[in-house]
Amino acid sequence: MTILSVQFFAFLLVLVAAYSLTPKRFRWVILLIGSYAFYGLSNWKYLALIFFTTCQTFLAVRKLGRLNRYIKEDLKLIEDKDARKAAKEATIRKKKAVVTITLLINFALLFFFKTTYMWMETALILPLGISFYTFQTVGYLIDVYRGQAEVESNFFKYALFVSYFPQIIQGPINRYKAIAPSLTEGNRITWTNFRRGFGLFIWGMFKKLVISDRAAIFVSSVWSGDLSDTAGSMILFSVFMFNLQLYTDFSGGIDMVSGVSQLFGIELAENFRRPFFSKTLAEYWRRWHMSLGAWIKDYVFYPIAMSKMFAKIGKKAKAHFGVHIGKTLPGAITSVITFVMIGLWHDITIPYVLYGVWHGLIMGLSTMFEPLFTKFNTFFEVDPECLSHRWFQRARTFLLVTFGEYFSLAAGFGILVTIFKRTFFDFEYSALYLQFTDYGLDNKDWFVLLMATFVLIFVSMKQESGVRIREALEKQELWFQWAATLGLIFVIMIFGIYGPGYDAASFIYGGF
Amino acid sequence: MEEVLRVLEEVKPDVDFSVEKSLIDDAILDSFDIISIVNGLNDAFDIEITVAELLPENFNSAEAMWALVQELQEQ
Repeated sequence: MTILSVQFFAFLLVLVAAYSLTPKRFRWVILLIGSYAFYGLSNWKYLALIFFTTCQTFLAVRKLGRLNRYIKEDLKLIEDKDARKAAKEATIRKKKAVVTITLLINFALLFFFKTTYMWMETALILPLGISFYTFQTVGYLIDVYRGQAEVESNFFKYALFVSYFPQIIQGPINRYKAIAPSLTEGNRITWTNFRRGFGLFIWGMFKKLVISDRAAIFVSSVWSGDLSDTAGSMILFSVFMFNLQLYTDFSGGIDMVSGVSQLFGIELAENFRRPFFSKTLAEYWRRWHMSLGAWIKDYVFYPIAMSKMFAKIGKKAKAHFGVHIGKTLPGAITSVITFVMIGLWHDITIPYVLYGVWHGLIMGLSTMFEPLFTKFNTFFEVDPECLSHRWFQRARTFLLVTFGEYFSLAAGFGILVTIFKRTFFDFEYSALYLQFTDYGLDNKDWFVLLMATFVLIFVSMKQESGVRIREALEKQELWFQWAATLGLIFVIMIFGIYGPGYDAASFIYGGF
Repeated sequence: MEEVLRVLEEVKPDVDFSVEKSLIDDAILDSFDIISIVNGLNDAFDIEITVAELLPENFNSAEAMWALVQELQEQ
Protein backbone atom coordinates (compact mmCIF):
# COMPACT_ATOMS: atom_id res chain seq x y z
CA MET A 1 0.00 0.00 0.00
CA THR A 2 1.45 3.34 -1.01
CA ILE A 3 0.43 6.75 0.22
CA LEU A 4 -1.00 7.77 -3.16
CA SER A 5 -3.44 4.91 -3.59
CA VAL A 6 -7.18 4.47 -3.18
CA GLN A 7 -6.45 1.79 -0.58
CA PHE A 8 -4.50 4.29 1.49
CA PHE A 9 -7.34 6.82 1.46
CA ALA A 10 -9.79 4.09 2.50
CA PHE A 11 -7.38 2.99 5.22
CA LEU A 12 -7.05 6.57 6.43
CA LEU A 13 -10.80 7.06 6.50
CA VAL A 14 -11.31 3.97 8.63
CA LEU A 15 -8.48 5.00 10.94
CA VAL A 16 -9.76 8.56 11.45
CA ALA A 17 -13.25 7.19 12.17
CA ALA A 18 -11.92 4.60 14.62
CA TYR A 19 -9.69 7.20 16.28
CA SER A 20 -12.50 9.65 16.88
CA LEU A 21 -14.93 6.96 18.11
CA THR A 22 -12.49 5.48 20.63
CA PRO A 23 -12.30 6.93 24.16
CA LYS A 24 -9.43 9.42 24.47
CA ARG A 25 -7.35 7.19 26.75
CA PHE A 26 -7.14 4.43 24.16
CA ARG A 27 -6.81 6.45 20.96
CA TRP A 28 -3.11 5.74 20.73
CA VAL A 29 -3.92 2.02 20.51
CA ILE A 30 -5.79 2.72 17.26
CA LEU A 31 -2.69 4.44 15.92
CA LEU A 32 -0.52 1.50 16.92
CA ILE A 33 -2.85 -1.00 15.24
CA GLY A 34 -3.05 1.28 12.20
CA SER A 35 0.72 1.62 12.01
CA TYR A 36 1.31 -2.11 12.13
CA ALA A 37 -1.49 -2.65 9.60
CA PHE A 38 0.08 -0.06 7.28
CA TYR A 39 3.48 -1.67 7.65
CA GLY A 40 2.06 -5.15 7.15
CA LEU A 41 0.06 -4.13 4.08
CA SER A 42 3.15 -2.53 2.56
CA ASN A 43 5.43 -5.49 3.10
CA TRP A 44 4.36 -8.02 5.71
CA LYS A 45 7.63 -9.93 5.51
CA TYR A 46 9.45 -7.23 7.41
CA LEU A 47 6.96 -6.84 10.23
CA ALA A 48 9.11 -9.15 12.33
CA LEU A 49 12.12 -6.92 11.74
CA ILE A 50 10.56 -3.70 13.03
CA PHE A 51 9.14 -5.68 15.94
CA PHE A 52 12.60 -7.05 16.72
CA THR A 53 14.09 -3.52 16.65
CA THR A 54 11.33 -2.36 18.97
CA CYS A 55 11.92 -5.20 21.45
CA GLN A 56 15.67 -5.04 21.77
CA THR A 57 15.87 -1.26 21.93
CA PHE A 58 13.05 -1.23 24.48
CA LEU A 59 14.99 -3.63 26.70
CA ALA A 60 18.14 -1.53 26.31
CA VAL A 61 16.31 1.71 27.13
CA ARG A 62 14.76 0.11 30.23
CA LYS A 63 18.15 -1.16 31.37
CA LEU A 64 19.73 2.27 30.86
CA GLY A 65 16.89 3.83 32.82
CA ARG A 66 17.57 1.50 35.76
CA LEU A 67 21.31 2.23 35.64
CA ASN A 68 20.63 6.00 35.49
CA ARG A 69 18.38 5.70 38.54
CA TYR A 70 21.02 3.71 40.36
CA ILE A 71 23.60 6.45 39.80
CA LYS A 72 21.17 9.18 40.79
CA GLU A 73 19.60 7.59 43.87
CA ASP A 74 21.19 4.41 45.17
CA LEU A 75 24.79 5.57 44.99
CA LYS A 76 24.15 8.19 47.66
CA LEU A 77 23.49 5.38 50.13
CA ILE A 78 27.05 4.10 49.87
CA GLU A 79 28.93 5.88 52.61
CA ASP A 80 32.51 5.04 51.77
CA LYS A 81 33.74 7.60 49.23
CA ASP A 82 36.06 5.25 47.33
CA ALA A 83 33.45 2.53 47.17
CA ARG A 84 30.95 5.06 45.85
CA LYS A 85 33.33 6.19 43.16
CA ALA A 86 34.11 2.60 42.14
CA ALA A 87 30.42 1.72 42.01
CA LYS A 88 29.72 4.79 39.85
CA GLU A 89 32.47 3.90 37.41
CA ALA A 90 31.28 0.31 37.19
CA THR A 91 27.75 1.49 36.44
CA ILE A 92 28.95 3.87 33.75
CA ARG A 93 30.88 0.99 32.19
CA LYS A 94 27.68 -1.07 32.19
CA LYS A 95 25.79 1.77 30.55
CA LYS A 96 28.45 2.03 27.87
CA ALA A 97 28.27 -1.72 27.24
CA VAL A 98 24.48 -1.65 26.87
CA VAL A 99 24.50 1.28 24.48
CA THR A 100 27.42 -0.08 22.41
CA ILE A 101 25.88 -3.52 21.94
CA THR A 102 22.49 -2.05 20.99
CA LEU A 103 24.06 0.35 18.53
CA LEU A 104 26.05 -2.46 16.96
CA ILE A 105 22.98 -4.67 16.54
CA ASN A 106 20.93 -1.94 14.92
CA PHE A 107 23.56 -0.52 12.63
CA ALA A 108 24.61 -4.03 11.62
CA LEU A 109 21.01 -4.71 10.57
CA LEU A 110 20.85 -1.45 8.64
CA PHE A 111 24.18 -2.13 6.99
CA PHE A 112 23.13 -5.68 6.12
CA PHE A 113 19.95 -4.63 4.35
CA LYS A 114 21.48 -1.63 2.64
CA THR A 115 24.30 -3.66 1.12
CA THR A 116 22.54 -6.87 0.06
CA TYR A 117 22.70 -5.75 -3.55
CA MET A 118 26.49 -5.84 -3.35
CA TRP A 119 26.91 -9.47 -2.39
CA MET A 120 23.64 -11.25 -3.09
CA GLU A 121 22.43 -12.48 -6.45
CA THR A 122 19.18 -10.62 -6.17
CA ALA A 123 19.00 -7.67 -3.84
CA LEU A 124 16.43 -7.85 -1.06
CA ILE A 125 13.84 -5.12 -1.03
CA LEU A 126 14.92 -2.66 1.61
CA PRO A 127 12.60 -2.91 4.63
CA LEU A 128 10.27 0.10 4.56
CA GLY A 129 11.70 3.03 6.49
CA ILE A 130 14.53 1.01 8.06
CA SER A 131 16.93 3.96 8.04
CA PHE A 132 14.38 6.30 9.51
CA TYR A 133 13.07 4.11 12.30
CA THR A 134 16.60 2.96 13.13
CA PHE A 135 17.83 6.56 13.42
CA GLN A 136 14.81 7.54 15.46
CA THR A 137 15.10 4.69 17.97
CA VAL A 138 18.87 4.94 18.23
CA GLY A 139 18.54 8.68 18.86
CA TYR A 140 16.15 8.00 21.72
CA LEU A 141 18.46 5.32 23.10
CA ILE A 142 21.36 7.80 23.20
CA ASP A 143 19.16 10.48 24.76
CA VAL A 144 18.31 8.08 27.58
CA TYR A 145 21.96 7.09 27.88
CA ARG A 146 22.87 10.76 28.29
CA GLY A 147 20.07 11.29 30.75
CA GLN A 148 18.35 13.72 28.42
CA ALA A 149 15.05 11.86 27.96
CA GLU A 150 12.55 10.04 30.15
CA VAL A 151 12.25 6.27 29.93
CA GLU A 152 9.05 5.01 28.30
CA SER A 153 7.87 2.16 30.48
CA ASN A 154 4.89 1.06 28.38
CA PHE A 155 6.07 -1.31 25.66
CA PHE A 156 3.12 -0.64 23.37
CA LYS A 157 3.44 3.12 23.59
CA TYR A 158 7.10 2.69 22.77
CA ALA A 159 6.17 0.47 19.81
CA LEU A 160 3.98 3.29 18.48
CA PHE A 161 6.88 5.75 18.75
CA VAL A 162 9.00 3.40 16.60
CA SER A 163 6.38 2.53 14.01
CA TYR A 164 4.04 5.56 13.72
CA PHE A 165 2.93 5.13 10.10
CA PRO A 166 3.19 8.62 8.55
CA GLN A 167 6.85 8.95 9.47
CA ILE A 168 7.83 5.44 8.50
CA ILE A 169 7.95 6.00 4.74
CA GLN A 170 10.73 8.58 4.57
CA GLY A 171 10.93 10.30 7.93
CA PRO A 172 11.14 12.91 9.33
CA ILE A 173 13.25 11.54 12.15
CA ASN A 174 11.34 12.59 15.25
CA ARG A 175 12.66 13.20 18.74
CA TYR A 176 11.00 11.27 21.52
CA LYS A 177 10.67 14.34 23.72
CA ALA A 178 8.96 16.31 20.97
CA ILE A 179 6.52 13.76 19.62
CA ALA A 180 5.80 11.19 22.36
CA PRO A 181 3.24 13.25 24.32
CA SER A 182 1.06 14.00 21.29
CA LEU A 183 1.23 10.38 20.11
CA THR A 184 -0.36 8.99 23.24
CA GLU A 185 -2.43 11.71 24.89
CA GLY A 186 -5.48 11.18 22.66
CA ASN A 187 -6.08 14.26 20.53
CA ARG A 188 -9.39 15.56 19.35
CA ILE A 189 -10.09 15.48 15.64
CA THR A 190 -10.75 19.13 14.83
CA TRP A 191 -11.93 20.88 11.71
CA THR A 192 -8.88 23.18 11.79
CA ASN A 193 -6.47 20.24 11.90
CA PHE A 194 -8.41 18.48 9.19
CA ARG A 195 -8.42 21.52 6.91
CA ARG A 196 -4.75 22.32 7.44
CA GLY A 197 -3.67 18.72 7.19
CA PHE A 198 -5.64 18.26 3.99
CA GLY A 199 -4.23 21.51 2.58
CA LEU A 200 -0.67 20.45 3.32
CA PHE A 201 -1.34 17.05 1.78
CA ILE A 202 -2.54 18.41 -1.56
CA TRP A 203 0.24 20.99 -1.64
CA GLY A 204 2.70 18.11 -1.24
CA MET A 205 0.85 16.23 -3.97
CA PHE A 206 1.18 19.23 -6.28
CA LYS A 207 4.95 19.36 -5.68
CA LYS A 208 5.30 15.64 -6.18
CA LEU A 209 2.96 14.89 -9.11
CA VAL A 210 3.07 18.11 -11.11
CA ILE A 211 6.68 19.21 -10.61
CA SER A 212 8.86 16.36 -9.38
CA ASP A 213 7.48 13.52 -11.47
CA ARG A 214 7.55 15.72 -14.59
CA ALA A 215 11.15 16.84 -13.99
CA ALA A 216 12.00 13.18 -13.31
CA ILE A 217 11.02 12.20 -16.88
CA PHE A 218 13.56 14.64 -18.27
CA VAL A 219 16.32 13.82 -15.78
CA SER A 220 16.04 10.06 -16.17
CA SER A 221 15.88 10.42 -19.94
CA VAL A 222 19.15 12.37 -20.00
CA TRP A 223 20.83 10.04 -17.55
CA SER A 224 19.71 6.79 -19.17
CA GLY A 225 21.20 7.86 -22.49
CA ASP A 226 24.81 7.71 -23.59
CA LEU A 227 26.34 10.42 -21.42
CA SER A 228 29.61 10.49 -23.33
CA ASP A 229 27.54 11.65 -26.28
CA THR A 230 25.38 14.17 -24.41
CA ALA A 231 26.13 17.87 -24.54
CA GLY A 232 27.74 19.26 -21.39
CA SER A 233 25.15 22.01 -21.24
CA MET A 234 22.38 19.41 -21.23
CA ILE A 235 24.08 17.50 -18.41
CA LEU A 236 24.45 20.66 -16.35
CA PHE A 237 20.83 21.60 -17.04
CA SER A 238 19.67 18.13 -16.04
CA VAL A 239 21.56 18.46 -12.75
CA PHE A 240 19.69 21.71 -12.08
CA MET A 241 16.47 19.91 -12.91
CA PHE A 242 17.48 17.07 -10.60
CA ASN A 243 17.81 19.62 -7.79
CA LEU A 244 14.23 20.66 -8.46
CA GLN A 245 13.08 17.05 -8.77
CA LEU A 246 14.72 15.94 -5.53
CA TYR A 247 13.51 18.90 -3.52
CA THR A 248 9.89 18.64 -4.68
CA ASP A 249 9.90 14.84 -4.34
CA PHE A 250 11.29 14.79 -0.81
CA SER A 251 9.67 17.91 0.61
CA GLY A 252 6.40 17.10 -1.18
CA GLY A 253 6.39 13.64 0.37
CA ILE A 254 7.11 15.10 3.79
CA ASP A 255 4.29 17.63 3.33
CA MET A 256 1.93 14.77 2.54
CA VAL A 257 2.81 12.65 5.58
CA SER A 258 2.85 15.72 7.84
CA GLY A 259 -0.63 16.52 6.55
CA VAL A 260 -1.80 12.98 7.28
CA SER A 261 -0.34 13.18 10.76
CA GLN A 262 -2.00 16.52 11.39
CA LEU A 263 -5.40 14.86 10.93
CA PHE A 264 -4.68 13.11 14.23
CA GLY A 265 -3.37 16.32 15.81
CA ILE A 266 0.22 15.07 15.75
CA GLU A 267 2.90 17.43 14.53
CA LEU A 268 5.87 15.75 12.85
CA ALA A 269 9.34 17.34 13.03
CA GLU A 270 10.01 20.06 10.47
CA ASN A 271 12.19 18.74 7.64
CA PHE A 272 12.52 21.53 5.06
CA ARG A 273 12.62 25.29 5.44
CA ARG A 274 13.06 26.52 1.87
CA PRO A 275 16.71 25.39 1.66
CA PHE A 276 17.41 27.15 -1.63
CA PHE A 277 17.11 30.52 0.10
CA SER A 278 20.19 29.69 2.19
CA LYS A 279 23.09 32.10 2.11
CA THR A 280 25.77 29.62 3.10
CA LEU A 281 26.21 25.89 2.72
CA ALA A 282 26.07 25.54 6.51
CA GLU A 283 22.69 27.26 6.50
CA TYR A 284 21.56 25.03 3.64
CA TRP A 285 22.25 21.97 5.77
CA ARG A 286 20.23 23.46 8.59
CA ARG A 287 17.27 23.89 6.23
CA TRP A 288 17.45 20.73 4.05
CA HIS A 289 16.51 17.37 5.57
CA MET A 290 16.57 19.15 8.91
CA SER A 291 15.67 16.18 11.08
CA LEU A 292 18.59 14.16 9.71
CA GLY A 293 20.90 17.18 10.07
CA ALA A 294 19.93 17.62 13.71
CA TRP A 295 20.34 13.90 14.32
CA ILE A 296 23.81 13.84 12.76
CA LYS A 297 24.81 16.95 14.70
CA ASP A 298 23.78 15.57 18.09
CA TYR A 299 24.84 11.95 17.71
CA VAL A 300 27.79 12.07 15.31
CA PHE A 301 29.25 15.57 14.92
CA TYR A 302 29.41 16.64 18.57
CA PRO A 303 30.69 13.32 19.97
CA ILE A 304 33.55 13.28 17.45
CA ALA A 305 34.41 16.98 17.57
CA MET A 306 34.35 16.99 21.38
CA SER A 307 36.36 13.82 21.84
CA LYS A 308 39.69 13.89 23.64
CA MET A 309 41.56 13.16 20.42
CA PHE A 310 40.06 16.15 18.66
CA ALA A 311 40.68 18.41 21.65
CA LYS A 312 44.35 17.41 21.34
CA ILE A 313 44.35 18.17 17.62
CA GLY A 314 42.89 21.57 18.44
CA LYS A 315 45.60 22.30 21.01
CA LYS A 316 48.39 21.32 18.62
CA ALA A 317 46.88 23.44 15.86
CA LYS A 318 46.59 26.36 18.27
CA ALA A 319 50.31 26.10 19.10
CA HIS A 320 51.27 26.02 15.42
CA PHE A 321 48.70 28.15 13.62
CA GLY A 322 47.19 30.41 16.25
CA VAL A 323 44.02 30.66 18.30
CA HIS A 324 41.47 30.78 15.47
CA ILE A 325 42.68 27.69 13.61
CA GLY A 326 43.10 25.86 16.91
CA LYS A 327 39.43 26.46 17.69
CA THR A 328 38.00 25.71 14.27
CA LEU A 329 40.15 22.82 13.04
CA PRO A 330 38.47 20.07 15.13
CA GLY A 331 35.05 21.12 13.81
CA ALA A 332 36.36 21.33 10.24
CA ILE A 333 37.85 17.82 10.26
CA THR A 334 34.72 16.44 11.89
CA SER A 335 32.64 18.12 9.23
CA VAL A 336 34.44 16.18 6.48
CA ILE A 337 34.10 12.89 8.38
CA THR A 338 30.42 13.54 9.05
CA PHE A 339 29.55 14.37 5.47
CA VAL A 340 31.43 11.37 4.11
CA MET A 341 29.28 9.27 6.43
CA ILE A 342 26.12 10.96 5.12
CA GLY A 343 27.34 10.28 1.58
CA LEU A 344 27.99 6.62 2.32
CA TRP A 345 24.57 6.27 3.91
CA HIS A 346 23.10 7.11 0.49
CA ASP A 347 25.19 4.49 -1.27
CA ILE A 348 28.62 2.95 -0.89
CA THR A 349 30.34 4.37 -3.99
CA ILE A 350 33.37 6.55 -4.69
CA PRO A 351 31.26 9.47 -5.98
CA TYR A 352 29.36 9.49 -2.69
CA VAL A 353 32.64 9.66 -0.77
CA LEU A 354 33.55 12.66 -2.92
CA TYR A 355 30.10 14.11 -2.32
CA GLY A 356 30.84 14.03 1.40
CA VAL A 357 34.32 15.46 0.97
CA TRP A 358 32.93 18.27 -1.17
CA HIS A 359 30.27 19.37 1.33
CA GLY A 360 32.45 18.74 4.37
CA LEU A 361 35.48 20.58 3.00
CA ILE A 362 33.54 23.65 1.96
CA MET A 363 31.82 23.88 5.32
CA GLY A 364 35.06 23.29 7.20
CA LEU A 365 37.19 25.65 5.14
CA SER A 366 34.61 28.42 5.16
CA THR A 367 34.64 28.41 8.97
CA MET A 368 38.41 28.29 9.15
CA PHE A 369 38.87 31.14 6.69
CA GLU A 370 35.97 33.24 7.91
CA PRO A 371 38.23 36.04 9.27
CA LEU A 372 39.79 36.26 5.83
CA PHE A 373 36.41 36.73 4.12
CA THR A 374 35.43 39.35 6.66
CA LYS A 375 38.66 41.23 5.96
CA PHE A 376 38.01 40.96 2.24
CA ASN A 377 34.51 42.41 2.63
CA THR A 378 35.76 45.22 4.84
CA PHE A 379 38.58 46.10 2.46
CA PHE A 380 36.32 46.23 -0.59
CA GLU A 381 33.58 47.89 1.45
CA VAL A 382 31.03 45.16 0.75
CA ASP A 383 27.95 45.49 2.91
CA PRO A 384 27.10 41.85 3.76
CA GLU A 385 23.50 42.83 4.58
CA CYS A 386 22.63 44.54 1.28
CA LEU A 387 20.07 42.90 -1.01
CA SER A 388 22.40 42.19 -3.93
CA HIS A 389 24.97 40.57 -1.67
CA ARG A 390 22.30 38.38 -0.10
CA TRP A 391 21.17 37.19 -3.54
CA PHE A 392 24.77 36.67 -4.57
CA GLN A 393 25.23 34.45 -1.51
CA ARG A 394 22.05 32.53 -2.30
CA ALA A 395 23.11 31.96 -5.90
CA ARG A 396 26.56 30.85 -4.77
CA THR A 397 25.09 28.36 -2.28
CA PHE A 398 22.73 27.02 -4.93
CA LEU A 399 25.61 26.49 -7.34
CA LEU A 400 27.71 24.75 -4.67
CA VAL A 401 24.83 22.39 -3.92
CA THR A 402 24.22 21.77 -7.61
CA PHE A 403 27.86 20.94 -8.16
CA GLY A 404 27.59 18.46 -5.28
CA GLU A 405 24.67 16.74 -7.06
CA TYR A 406 27.08 15.66 -9.81
CA PHE A 407 28.50 13.27 -7.25
CA SER A 408 25.15 11.93 -6.13
CA LEU A 409 23.90 11.41 -9.69
CA ALA A 410 26.96 9.52 -10.93
CA ALA A 411 26.57 5.83 -10.19
CA GLY A 412 30.30 5.19 -10.49
CA PHE A 413 33.64 6.91 -10.78
CA GLY A 414 33.83 6.38 -14.55
CA ILE A 415 30.52 8.16 -15.12
CA LEU A 416 31.65 10.97 -12.85
CA VAL A 417 34.75 11.54 -14.98
CA THR A 418 32.63 11.48 -18.16
CA ILE A 419 30.09 14.04 -16.96
CA PHE A 420 32.76 16.42 -15.70
CA LYS A 421 34.63 16.09 -18.97
CA ARG A 422 31.47 16.81 -20.96
CA THR A 423 30.47 19.74 -18.75
CA PHE A 424 33.83 21.45 -18.85
CA PHE A 425 35.10 20.61 -22.34
CA ASP A 426 32.06 19.85 -24.53
CA PHE A 427 29.50 22.31 -23.29
CA GLU A 428 27.73 22.82 -26.68
CA TYR A 429 25.34 25.42 -25.31
CA SER A 430 23.23 25.29 -28.49
CA ALA A 431 21.91 21.91 -27.32
CA LEU A 432 19.91 23.75 -24.67
CA TYR A 433 17.52 25.26 -27.23
CA LEU A 434 17.94 22.73 -30.03
CA GLN A 435 17.48 19.53 -28.02
CA PHE A 436 15.44 20.35 -24.94
CA THR A 437 12.40 18.52 -26.28
CA ASP A 438 14.43 15.40 -27.11
CA TYR A 439 14.32 14.09 -23.57
CA GLY A 440 10.77 13.01 -22.86
CA LEU A 441 9.13 16.41 -22.29
CA ASP A 442 7.46 18.35 -25.11
CA ASN A 443 6.83 22.11 -25.23
CA LYS A 444 3.54 21.80 -23.35
CA ASP A 445 5.21 19.82 -20.54
CA TRP A 446 7.98 22.34 -20.23
CA PHE A 447 5.42 25.12 -20.03
CA VAL A 448 3.50 23.35 -17.25
CA LEU A 449 6.74 22.65 -15.41
CA LEU A 450 7.81 26.27 -15.70
CA MET A 451 4.48 27.61 -14.48
CA ALA A 452 4.28 25.15 -11.60
CA THR A 453 7.81 26.04 -10.56
CA PHE A 454 6.87 29.72 -10.62
CA VAL A 455 3.98 28.95 -8.28
CA LEU A 456 6.39 27.10 -5.99
CA ILE A 457 8.88 29.98 -6.01
CA PHE A 458 6.13 32.54 -5.42
CA VAL A 459 4.74 30.60 -2.45
CA SER A 460 8.25 30.04 -1.08
CA MET A 461 9.08 33.75 -1.30
CA LYS A 462 5.84 34.57 0.51
CA GLN A 463 6.70 32.06 3.24
CA GLU A 464 10.22 33.40 3.37
CA SER A 465 8.86 36.86 4.14
CA GLY A 466 6.87 35.43 7.04
CA VAL A 467 3.44 34.74 5.48
CA ARG A 468 1.80 31.52 6.69
CA ILE A 469 -0.09 30.47 3.60
CA ARG A 470 -2.70 28.16 5.09
CA GLU A 471 -3.50 30.53 7.94
CA ALA A 472 -3.76 33.45 5.53
CA LEU A 473 -6.12 31.41 3.37
CA GLU A 474 -8.34 30.64 6.37
CA LYS A 475 -8.96 34.33 6.84
CA GLN A 476 -10.51 34.55 3.37
CA GLU A 477 -14.15 33.98 2.46
CA LEU A 478 -15.24 30.35 2.48
CA TRP A 479 -15.94 30.30 -1.28
CA PHE A 480 -12.41 31.52 -1.92
CA GLN A 481 -10.89 28.82 0.30
CA TRP A 482 -12.82 26.15 -1.55
CA ALA A 483 -12.03 27.61 -4.93
CA ALA A 484 -8.30 27.63 -4.12
CA THR A 485 -8.39 24.08 -2.75
CA LEU A 486 -10.45 22.63 -5.57
CA GLY A 487 -8.38 24.59 -8.09
CA LEU A 488 -5.22 22.95 -6.81
CA ILE A 489 -6.86 19.52 -6.91
CA PHE A 490 -7.94 20.10 -10.53
CA VAL A 491 -4.43 21.23 -11.45
CA ILE A 492 -3.06 18.03 -9.92
CA MET A 493 -5.65 15.89 -11.70
CA ILE A 494 -5.03 17.52 -15.08
CA PHE A 495 -1.30 18.13 -14.95
CA GLY A 496 -0.11 15.50 -12.51
CA ILE A 497 1.99 12.64 -13.84
CA TYR A 498 0.21 9.40 -12.99
CA GLY A 499 -1.71 6.58 -14.57
CA PRO A 500 -1.37 2.86 -15.13
CA GLY A 501 2.16 1.58 -15.27
CA TYR A 502 3.52 4.70 -13.69
CA ASP A 503 4.60 4.37 -10.09
CA ALA A 504 3.81 7.91 -9.00
CA ALA A 505 4.14 7.13 -5.36
CA SER A 506 7.68 5.89 -5.27
CA PHE A 507 9.66 8.48 -3.38
CA ILE A 508 13.41 8.84 -3.79
CA TYR A 509 14.00 8.81 -0.05
CA GLY A 510 11.55 5.95 0.40
CA GLY A 511 14.48 3.90 -0.92
CA PHE A 512 16.77 4.68 1.99
CA MET B 1 31.87 35.35 34.41
CA GLU B 2 34.18 37.81 32.66
CA GLU B 3 36.32 34.92 31.54
CA VAL B 4 33.24 33.29 29.95
CA LEU B 5 32.46 36.52 28.09
CA ARG B 6 36.07 36.73 26.92
CA VAL B 7 35.91 33.19 25.48
CA LEU B 8 32.59 33.96 23.78
CA GLU B 9 33.75 37.22 22.26
CA GLU B 10 36.81 35.51 20.89
CA VAL B 11 34.58 33.06 19.01
CA LYS B 12 31.97 35.55 17.79
CA PRO B 13 33.07 39.17 18.20
CA ASP B 14 29.94 40.56 16.52
CA VAL B 15 27.47 39.26 19.13
CA ASP B 16 26.70 41.12 22.36
CA PHE B 17 26.77 38.21 24.77
CA SER B 18 25.79 40.29 27.77
CA VAL B 19 22.27 40.77 26.39
CA GLU B 20 21.49 37.72 24.18
CA LYS B 21 19.40 35.19 26.05
CA SER B 22 18.51 32.66 23.35
CA LEU B 23 21.76 32.00 21.54
CA ILE B 24 20.73 28.48 20.59
CA ASP B 25 16.97 28.88 20.10
CA ASP B 26 17.51 31.85 17.77
CA ALA B 27 20.35 30.04 15.97
CA ILE B 28 22.86 32.79 16.72
CA LEU B 29 25.45 30.11 17.46
CA ASP B 30 25.95 27.22 15.03
CA SER B 31 27.52 23.86 15.76
CA PHE B 32 31.00 25.07 14.77
CA ASP B 33 30.69 27.95 17.26
CA ILE B 34 29.59 25.53 19.96
CA ILE B 35 32.66 23.37 19.43
CA SER B 36 34.91 26.45 19.58
CA ILE B 37 33.18 27.66 22.75
CA VAL B 38 33.40 24.25 24.42
CA ASN B 39 37.12 24.03 23.61
CA GLY B 40 37.63 27.58 24.87
CA LEU B 41 35.75 26.99 28.15
CA ASN B 42 37.48 23.64 28.75
CA ASP B 43 40.82 25.37 28.37
CA ALA B 44 40.04 28.46 30.39
CA PHE B 45 38.52 26.67 33.38
CA ASP B 46 40.25 23.29 33.18
CA ILE B 47 36.94 21.43 32.96
CA GLU B 48 35.57 18.80 30.60
CA ILE B 49 32.20 19.59 29.06
CA THR B 50 30.66 16.40 27.67
CA VAL B 51 28.00 15.82 25.01
CA ALA B 52 25.44 15.12 27.72
CA GLU B 53 25.72 18.76 28.78
CA LEU B 54 25.06 20.05 25.27
CA LEU B 55 21.51 21.14 25.97
CA PRO B 56 20.05 24.40 24.68
CA GLU B 57 19.36 25.51 28.26
CA ASN B 58 23.07 25.26 29.08
CA PHE B 59 24.19 27.40 26.13
CA ASN B 60 21.40 29.90 25.54
CA SER B 61 23.14 32.70 27.44
CA ALA B 62 26.49 33.62 28.94
CA GLU B 63 24.97 33.23 32.43
CA ALA B 64 23.81 29.69 31.65
CA MET B 65 27.31 28.78 30.45
CA TRP B 66 28.81 30.32 33.58
CA ALA B 67 26.42 28.26 35.70
CA LEU B 68 27.46 25.12 33.81
CA VAL B 69 31.14 25.94 34.32
CA GLN B 70 30.63 26.41 38.06
CA GLU B 71 28.69 23.17 38.31
CA LEU B 72 31.44 21.24 36.53
CA GLN B 73 34.14 22.87 38.64
CA GLU B 74 32.42 21.65 41.81
CA GLN B 75 32.42 18.03 40.67
